[in-house]
Formats: sequence, structure tokens, C-alpha cells
Amino acid sequence: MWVPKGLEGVIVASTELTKIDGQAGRLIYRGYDATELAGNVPYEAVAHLLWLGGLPAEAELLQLREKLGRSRALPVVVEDFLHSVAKVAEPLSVLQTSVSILGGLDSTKSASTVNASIALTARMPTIVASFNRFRHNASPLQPRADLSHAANYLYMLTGKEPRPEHVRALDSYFTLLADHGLGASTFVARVAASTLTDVYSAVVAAISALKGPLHGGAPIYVWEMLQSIGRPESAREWLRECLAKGDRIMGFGHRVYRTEDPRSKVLKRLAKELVKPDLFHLASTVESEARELLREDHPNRVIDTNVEFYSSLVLDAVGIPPELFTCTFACARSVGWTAHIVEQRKDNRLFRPESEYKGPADLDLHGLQKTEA
Amino acid sequence: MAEIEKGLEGVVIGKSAITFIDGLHGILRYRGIDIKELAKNSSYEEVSYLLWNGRLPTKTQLSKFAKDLSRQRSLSPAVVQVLKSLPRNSDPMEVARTAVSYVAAFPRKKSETFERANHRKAVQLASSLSTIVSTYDRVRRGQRPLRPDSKLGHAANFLYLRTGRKPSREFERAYDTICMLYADHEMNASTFAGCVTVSTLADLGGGVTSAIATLAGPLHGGSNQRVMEMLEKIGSADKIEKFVDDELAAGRRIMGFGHRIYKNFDPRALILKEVADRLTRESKSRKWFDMAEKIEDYVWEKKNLRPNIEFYAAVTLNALGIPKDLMPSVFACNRIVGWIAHIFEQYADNRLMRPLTEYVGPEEQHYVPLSQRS
Repeated sequence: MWVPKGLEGVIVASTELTKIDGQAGRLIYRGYDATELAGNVPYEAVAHLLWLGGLPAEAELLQLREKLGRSRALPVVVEDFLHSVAKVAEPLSVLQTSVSILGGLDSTKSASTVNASIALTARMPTIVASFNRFRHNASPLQPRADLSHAANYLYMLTGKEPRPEHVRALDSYFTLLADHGLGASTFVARVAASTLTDVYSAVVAAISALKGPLHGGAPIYVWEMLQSIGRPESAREWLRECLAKGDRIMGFGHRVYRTEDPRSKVLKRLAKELVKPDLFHLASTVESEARELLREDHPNRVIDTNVEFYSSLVLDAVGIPPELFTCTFACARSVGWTAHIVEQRKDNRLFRPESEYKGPADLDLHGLQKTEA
Repeated sequence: MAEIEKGLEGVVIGKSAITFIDGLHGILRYRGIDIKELAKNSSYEEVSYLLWNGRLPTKTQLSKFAKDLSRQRSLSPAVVQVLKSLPRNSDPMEVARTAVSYVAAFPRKKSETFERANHRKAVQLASSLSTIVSTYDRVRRGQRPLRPDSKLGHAANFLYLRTGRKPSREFERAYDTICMLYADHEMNASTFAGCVTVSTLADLGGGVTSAIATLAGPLHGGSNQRVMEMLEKIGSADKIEKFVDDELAAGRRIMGFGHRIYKNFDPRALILKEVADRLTRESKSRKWFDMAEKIEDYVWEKKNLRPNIEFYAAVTLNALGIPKDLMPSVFACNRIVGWIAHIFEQYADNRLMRPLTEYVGPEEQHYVPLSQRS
């Protein structure tokens, strides 16, 4: 059977996790609208929903919080590794290598995929924060079990008690980015998991895919674009030049959404509350100019803002350095990746597609076509 | 609602000019050349060049390519340090995954293009993965890592770097044959994971890391190790029939038999059987070859199944002195050139791989405050 390139429109699995309605612009986690969850329930409850199937009762939530809280510290091997590479290596690859090391050290990973997922999700922010502190000649901070997932991450990055509005915003960001169906990274995680490799291995594979610029959720490019545009008055001309060169405008367009990305609306509201009015004005000017230009260029297709656009503003506002944006996305998505891995293992079939051979037919060792005998 | 293509079985996801497989007739060709001819006449270096470039190299091209690989075969002190820092009871495949991820962790220089950096990493990873695995094997045994010998090629170096002894011509040739047979096998799960990864335009190092992470799963890699474990568990030829009968009665598969694509026989198994036969003559590992042959006959009689590549690979690797738990990573050390060939092909005509799922979860529900939930 032949399918379109890039598997566009091909259904490769059934899932109970996430429903994306690309026409209406809606994102649903196990029946709940993600934009309704964001800010109303803590990220840990969303993690519970995706991993275990329902929103937690109070005792269950406490239990998960406690489990995450006590799993945050890193083994010495990983800390030493972070110390040795902090100045030279690229953050996302360091996160990936650290996850790979953690996998080798976790001797109980095969006993329960959900428990391994919890342990891994708890440690990813610690890896990113410790790496960043080594990079800036500071020693890593001990994680705090009394703080929420989002609050602890901010605390470990800065060493300061995080501000409640920053915690709320980052928590919402984590929830909105927790899962998104089969983005390339999640798809890779499921392909890897289909060989029954463990959770760490499958997440290592997922992180690799996140490195590519065609993968969504890398708001650093938007951030760089806004820096480069600089002032609202320059927006139109800058964007025109960008399109004239045949480049993509960052933070716009999505394979699945044919309308505004629902996550973008929430993030825009958060950005408006948090960032300096000048910066917000710049971003919203770029947004409306870009939308207009894209409509002129593609009158028959709706190309609207995606999740990356306002993510960059929100992450910057809560104090995350731009070079850690993608790692922070990975921390949020680890819940989705691991929930998909759990689901894949429940009803598994090894991924083994085919390709059509279009190379030369039977050749001899001199590269000559053999004749029929 | 469209049909669900679970496991994408039988789904053709694109065109490829690398490897041709005819599962019905047991034919495998790299770039049009039959694996039997390659195994007999070629070398791993030459096969790698063929897979990457689409044709066999001239003498000059081959010597330049071999030199490029040779230059990249040593590990930096930092990589050796990482290998030393890992617990000595680590799974070698996990170690290989960590080391490859680490090697790929360094950003390219500003002056280097994406394409050039990928090409550099291709040579670097294809050449050094074998060094990573053999060096870890020494480190975990408390031995000092060795430096690759620039006079030896890919196959001989792997054997040398483990033991410190230069292999005999016969050993080198046997291992080189395994290397060529493992080099590619079209769109299997690890290769597919590599291609999906780079479809985001992630770098080649990321693609290889994904592939190796995927190979770590028991449904894909590791069968050669399990074949050897099975042989040891059976212990002697007189216990074969009972073992096979018991396994089949319990509904279990016999390790190293059958293949999702080769319906009749795996051409690589035929080649490796000959290699194993030659290699074990007058050696103490002959016992395993004789047992393997008996198992082959008995499983054919009972189940009409033929052995796959892993069956005689286990016997051959064992005869070469490779420990069981290193066998799965030997697969990775050689499949890496196939991964890279497919990754290059993906870059050359790319489209982001973004399939869909069918949602079968609960219908829309509304958020209930925590205090009202039971």
C-alpha cells in the first residue's frame, strides 16, 4: 500500500490520550480541553490524567507530587557528566545524553513503565537547571520537594524563591505543551517503544527528533526573530523581506491546525500579563502584520500563529534563558512522550514499514547490469 | 474514518535506492549487487562506500575513504572518560547509546555547513562506534583502553581493540563478513526511527542516536545474544529435541528462526553458516556449530522454519571470542552505515513525518474541582 510522503494523513495508531481538532482549533486530553485545564489544575494533575487515565483525587495528587518531589535529585555520575560538558556542549544534546545515562543507572525501569516515567519526568528539569548553573560557574542547587514541578524548576534555575505569577504561567505552559498527538518526536518515541525498549531509550530517541528546526515547539527561533526585528515599525518590512527570500516566518503555521492554535490564545493572554508592554506590543504587531502578509501570499490557506509564537515571550518572562527554551519544552513534553510509550506497550505492534526500491537492478561487481541467463 | 496502519506493516512510506529485498526468494542486494557476491569478494569499508555513494569505489576512492575512517577511529579522552565513569555492569548497548549521544552533543563550528557537519559526523560515528564498544569492554574488565592500529581496517581493529592481539587473517575475514551482512536491511524499526528523526532536519548524530535507542528493544536487536544463551542453556546435542519440543509446546519461539520479510530463507544465514562452519573446524567452539546445525534440522522438521541472520551470527561471534552481552552492540556497530545511508537519502528528499492517531478516548468532559472529585 502506498501512502503520501511524510505519512501525511496516515493514521498509525489509536490513542486515548489526545484529540486534536485541526478545523475547530481544539486540543483535548482524555476528554478535557487543554486550555481549560491550563491554570485550573496543576501540571502534576495533568500528568496523572495522561499517565493514569483520570484527573486525580486530592490524595492521589498528593501522592504523585510526593513521588515526583523525592525523585528529583540526580545520581553523582550524571552530575559529574554535566559538570564536564557544561561549557562546551549543546543543551538539548546534554539533556539527551543525561537521560541515556539515567536509563543505564535505573535498574527498576523494566518493572513499571509508569514509575520509570515519573522518575524520568522528575529529573529532567533538574538536569537542565544543573547544567545551566555549571555553565555559569555556580554549583547546582538541591531540588526542593516542597515545591511544585514548575516552581522547583524555576527555583533550581535561579536560586530564588519563584514569584507566584511566574509559577502559574510556567505551570500553564507545561500543561499546554504536555502532549500533542504524534508530533515527530512522539512518533519516534512510539517507534522506539514498539521494539519494547525501555522508557529512557524511547525518550532519548524522542529528544533527537526535537533537535530539528521543522519540529514545532522550538520557540527560540521566534525569540531570535523578535530580537532581529527590534521595533514594531520595522515589522512589516522585515517580514516582507523574509518572505521574499523564501524563508518561513517563525511561529506561524502548523501541519494539523487550519486555524489559530488554541494554545497560542492562552499563551498570548499570559504573555500580556507578564511581559513589558513594549515587548508585547512588538510581538502583537509582528503577529498581525505576519498574518496579513501570509493571507496575501496564500489566500486559500489559513496560516495562523502556532504555539511557538507566544511561548517565547512567556518563557523569557518567567526567567528561562532562550538557549534553554527547547529543553524546557522537552521537560513539558516528557509527560506526553512517556504516556504514549505506556500506551504503545499496552497494545504493541513493531513498526516496520517498507520502502519501494527504485535503485539499479541486478548488477555484477563491476557495476554492470547482469543479463538474463 | 481511514484504516489504522498499525505497525505500518506492508505500508510503503517512500522510495529508496539503497537496498532491495525479495522476501519470497531470499534475495538481498545493496545498490543492486547481490549480498552473496559482496560477502565473498568485498570488505566492510567498500560496502559502506557503496551504501553511501551508490556505487563501488575506485581504488583511489577506496583508499581515501578507508583513510578517512581510520583517522576518525580513535576516541577523544573525553569520550573515554565518559566510558570510565559508567558502572561496569552497564548494558553495552546503553553505553553505546550514551556515547553516541555524547559524541553528537557538540555544536558544529559556525564556518561549517549543516551538510558538511553531517558528513563529518557520519564518518566519525561509523568509524568510532566500534571503538566505543570494544573500549568499554576493556574498561569494564579493568583493562587499559588501546589505541586503534592505523594499519588495520574496520573489522580487524574491532577484534584488536578488545583483546590487544592482532587477529588472524581467518578471524578478520569472518568478522568482516558479519559486518557486511549486518550493514543494511532497508526500513526496519531502527532505520525508520533514524529517518523520522532527521525528517525534522535534526542533525545526523540525532538520527543515529534515535536508531541505536530503538535497536535496544528486545523485539528488534539482541537476538544474537539470545541465540547464544539458548545454545548454552541446551548445553549438549542430546538435549536439543526435548528443548525444542518443550519450547514449541509452551507456545514459545525458538530464538534465531523465522523472519517477518524472508518467507522461505534468509540469504545472510546461508552465508554465515558457511563462515561459522569454516571458522569452528578443529576448534573448541565446534560444539556450538554442530548443535546449531542439529537445531536447524529439527526446527525445520517440526515447524518448517529456517534460521535468520542472528542464528549463525551468534555461533560465529562466539567463535571469535565476543562475549554474549556484546553481541547486540556488534549489530549496531555495523548497521550504523545503513542507518546513515538512509538518513542521507531522507535529507535528499525530505518531508516531515507527521502521521495521525485515531482518538478513542473519552468524549468531551468538563473540569470538576478537586474537592468535588471522588
